[in-house]
Amino acid sequence: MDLILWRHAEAEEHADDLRRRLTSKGRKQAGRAAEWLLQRLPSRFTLISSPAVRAHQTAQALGTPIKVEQSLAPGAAPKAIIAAAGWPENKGAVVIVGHQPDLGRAAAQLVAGGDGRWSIKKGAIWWLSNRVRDGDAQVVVRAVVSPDLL
Amino acid sequence: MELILWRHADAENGADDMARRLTPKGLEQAAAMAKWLRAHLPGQYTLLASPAVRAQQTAAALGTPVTERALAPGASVAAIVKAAQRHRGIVIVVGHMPDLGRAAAELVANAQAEWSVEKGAVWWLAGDAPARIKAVVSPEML
Repeated sequence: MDLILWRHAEAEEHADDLRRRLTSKGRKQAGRAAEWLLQRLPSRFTLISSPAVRAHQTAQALGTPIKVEQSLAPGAAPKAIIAAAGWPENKGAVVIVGHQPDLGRAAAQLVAGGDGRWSIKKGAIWWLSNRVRDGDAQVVVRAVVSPDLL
Repeated sequence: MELILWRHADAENGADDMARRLTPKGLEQAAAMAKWLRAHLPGQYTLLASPAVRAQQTAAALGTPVTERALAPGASVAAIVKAAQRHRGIVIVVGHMPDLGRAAAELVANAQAEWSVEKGAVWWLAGDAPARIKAVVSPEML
């Protein structure tokens, strides 16, 4: 399966963390990342977002139906993210829009099998896929791109 | 330091491993990746390449490389890091699998593993170990 971890774009400050909205720069970042994704994703994919407004607004840039998953709210454990994606059995492509350090912890666990806290920039995309080669299950990092590289 | 690991593009088969040349597809992959790198690299960087022809041809899509014998197929992580550390700033290493995948695993996760680096792909790492993965791009993703 293809698992795309997408961190929300730049957001405004707000006393209520879940209600923080994207800045105008953040909306541009989300738009660029969405355009990049739409050129590369299969025509059918699943889009799942954290309930936080900044994540939901980021996901909206893709223009496809969004499934809001409460377990992806800030502070999500790697196993919650992995479970929400249906990794590794899910056959299709799943886009998860969430937060740091949660997504970076999930990436570290999937790629390195460790409890690292990998850096993922605002609005950046990590595209992972799984495959079996020589009888071994492998996780392949297919792409890592941040808005400044798009 | 920033270290860009760049695996040679698609190459022909051949009895002499060091003499294998890029296929037409490989030449296209190398050119596409060089274009992407040029768009994102600062003006100053160092380009190092394995002496194998497929690595030399890949590097040549970007510029004239400094040939490092230590980067030939089978290079250890220590050899790759040593070759890169002789230079300041951004260093691009054009080499082979599984060597580059081992280097990425060790530098990013301090792990003894062979991460998959696809043909023609770049892994852009930033900072000393543990390095941050700044970008991963393969020709198919351009």
